[in-house]
Amino acid sequence: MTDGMITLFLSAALFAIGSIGVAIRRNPLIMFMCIELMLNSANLALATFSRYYARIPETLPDSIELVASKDLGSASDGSIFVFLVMTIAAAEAVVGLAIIIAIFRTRKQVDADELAELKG
Amino acid sequence: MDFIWLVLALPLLGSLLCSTHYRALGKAATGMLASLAILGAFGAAAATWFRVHAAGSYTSQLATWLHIPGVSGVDVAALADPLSATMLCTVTGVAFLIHCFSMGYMSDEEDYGRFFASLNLFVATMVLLVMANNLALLLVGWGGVGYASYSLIGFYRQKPSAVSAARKAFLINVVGDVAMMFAIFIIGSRVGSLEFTSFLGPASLDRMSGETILAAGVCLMIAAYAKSAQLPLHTWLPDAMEGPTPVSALIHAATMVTAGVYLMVRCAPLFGHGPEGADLMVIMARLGAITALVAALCAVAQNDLKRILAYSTMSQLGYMFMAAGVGAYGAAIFHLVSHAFFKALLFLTAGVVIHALHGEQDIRKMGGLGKKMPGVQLAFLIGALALAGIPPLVGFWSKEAILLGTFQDGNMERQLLWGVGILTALLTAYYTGRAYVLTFWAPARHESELHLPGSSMTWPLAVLSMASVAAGLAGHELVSEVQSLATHLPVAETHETFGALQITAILAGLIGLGVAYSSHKTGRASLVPDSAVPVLLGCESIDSLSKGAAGSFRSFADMVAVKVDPVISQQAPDLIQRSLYGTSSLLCQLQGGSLRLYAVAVLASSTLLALFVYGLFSLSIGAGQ
Repeated sequence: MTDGMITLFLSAALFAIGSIGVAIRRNPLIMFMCIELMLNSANLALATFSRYYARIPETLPDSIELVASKDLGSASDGSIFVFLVMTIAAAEAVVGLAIIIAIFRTRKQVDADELAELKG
Repeated sequence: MDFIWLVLALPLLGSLLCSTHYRALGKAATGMLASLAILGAFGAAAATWFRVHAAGSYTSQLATWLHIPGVSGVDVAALADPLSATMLCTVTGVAFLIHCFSMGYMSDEEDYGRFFASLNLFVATMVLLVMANNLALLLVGWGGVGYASYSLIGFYRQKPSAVSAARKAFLINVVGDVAMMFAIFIIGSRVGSLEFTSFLGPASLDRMSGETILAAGVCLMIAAYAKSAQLPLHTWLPDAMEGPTPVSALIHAATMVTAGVYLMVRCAPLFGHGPEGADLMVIMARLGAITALVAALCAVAQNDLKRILAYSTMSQLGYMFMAAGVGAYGAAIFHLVSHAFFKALLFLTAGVVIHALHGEQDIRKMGGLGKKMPGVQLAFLIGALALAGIPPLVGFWSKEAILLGTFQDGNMERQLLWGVGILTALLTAYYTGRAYVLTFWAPARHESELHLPGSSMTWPLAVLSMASVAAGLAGHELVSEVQSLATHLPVAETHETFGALQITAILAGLIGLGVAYSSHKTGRASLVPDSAVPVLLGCESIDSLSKGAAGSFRSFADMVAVKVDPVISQQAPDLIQRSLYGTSSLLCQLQGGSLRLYAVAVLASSTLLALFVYGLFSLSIGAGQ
């Protein structure tokens, strides 16, 4: 097991915690935090892969040629994606928190299970 | 471009103008326009006739209609020969007089424009039928005549009986059209040409096998029988009397029923070829004789003036088919032409009588009209004598030509046919005389004021009467003239002597007329006992036969309507609706409104998607290695 695997397991654990949190908690704020957790676990995975793939050409013996080396992209792709995800997470937090505050102002409560007016 | 095309173009143009510009033209101008179109067509037809007689037959090709590999002669082309030129002159000439008559007869009608448009179309399609130089173009006219007759028989479209008569006529004519198409397919595929001069040539006929001639001939005969109202496809003709009287005159005299005889004469070489053709001709002659006799019997038992004339047409057409069947083609065409004149005369006179009596058609309720309408009486008398075959009227010469062509010494069958012809002539004279006596001489049995005809209705009668008399006086010369119509055909022996055969025929006519006069001058309605009427009406039993056959289809259709249709049309949509409703209510439960359920669904499905993509990816990697 390489050291990269530890961070991948950490990322998977964080994603699982986040998704379970979204599924079982009823407070929208907590659900929001869980979504942030999932996004950050994805960030962690991206950063890990970025580091991992940056090292591949060095670790491989000379005789082995990567079949799909062109498809693997460059080492910095993952890091760039991390920034994109963080931007989206920030934007999402702004919009989402605004919605939650608006709902709280009109209904004085924000239980996710009670907000079911649009059900089919 | 030859002026023979004017014969077709003018009525077509007239029909178009009458149907589109009727409102702008008004009644008088519409009728005038339609009549002038036919007059122009008659002029062109006469010019064609003179050219054919001066310079011989010719073909005028306008265009190639269809390019079919292996089949030639599907052209827009006209054939001008003595036969078609004579037919064209007869059709347009008689039609012109009928048009003029219609201007007066139909003047009270609302749908004047529609009437004249259909009338012109009728003539145009008949002209196309006659002048076509190949079977395919002939079929266009053939079907067109069927359509035009449909629209005219059903002219009084608010009358259910007229509409159903029109439908009947159309349906039976379509039987003929289909038979005609089969004939075209057979001839086109076996001979490779549909042009008359080509496929009827001796070389083509020699190439045809006996079965081909038999099949093509039978199809052509069925087509002709449907169009010409011969047994057993005759049932539409008496019902077609539902149309206005000028239409009946047109159908019976010029434009419709003669088409079958024309087709038989046109295709004569086919029937004259080989033993199969000879068999067909024997059948044609026998059926013609039977039709002549049966229709004459039927006419004896009729009380409707127009139906008497209708059955007499059927009977006379039977004569023509008999003549064609024994090879006397010239006589058949001669009788066709002379019949066109005197039958048009009879129908138009009947129209005047019916018009005068405000639509009364039952001869038992007429009578005494002779004193009030002497001119009309004379016209009807001339027509009736011509129909009865009394010399010197034209009907005598043409009927004689047929009877003489039929009789053959030492040939039992031919003599039998001749005997049937004489018997029919006797019956014809009787029922014509009965109609005449009951209408004009018998004591009057009606009170209402007579609606006397105007001059536009009487002068066509005068022209037709004079034509019947004049042609009759020149009858002997005409007989030899018409034989030249069919020079390329086997010409029947002409009996020059004025012998026992003619005297028998004249006597038959005179006896028939005498019986009619003596028994009906007092106004006695019928000589036939009531119990015998069903026997005489034998040929109408075909109607009940077809009704019976139709009844089984009808009950089947009723069963479908009651049992099958509700299942398909009501329960099937119901089932679809219910299944859709069930599916949608199931799917609605997924939209339960629970945010957390949605989140789980998104997670679960994206996980599944990821697994799926991973599976595909590993498969493709495996394949790559």
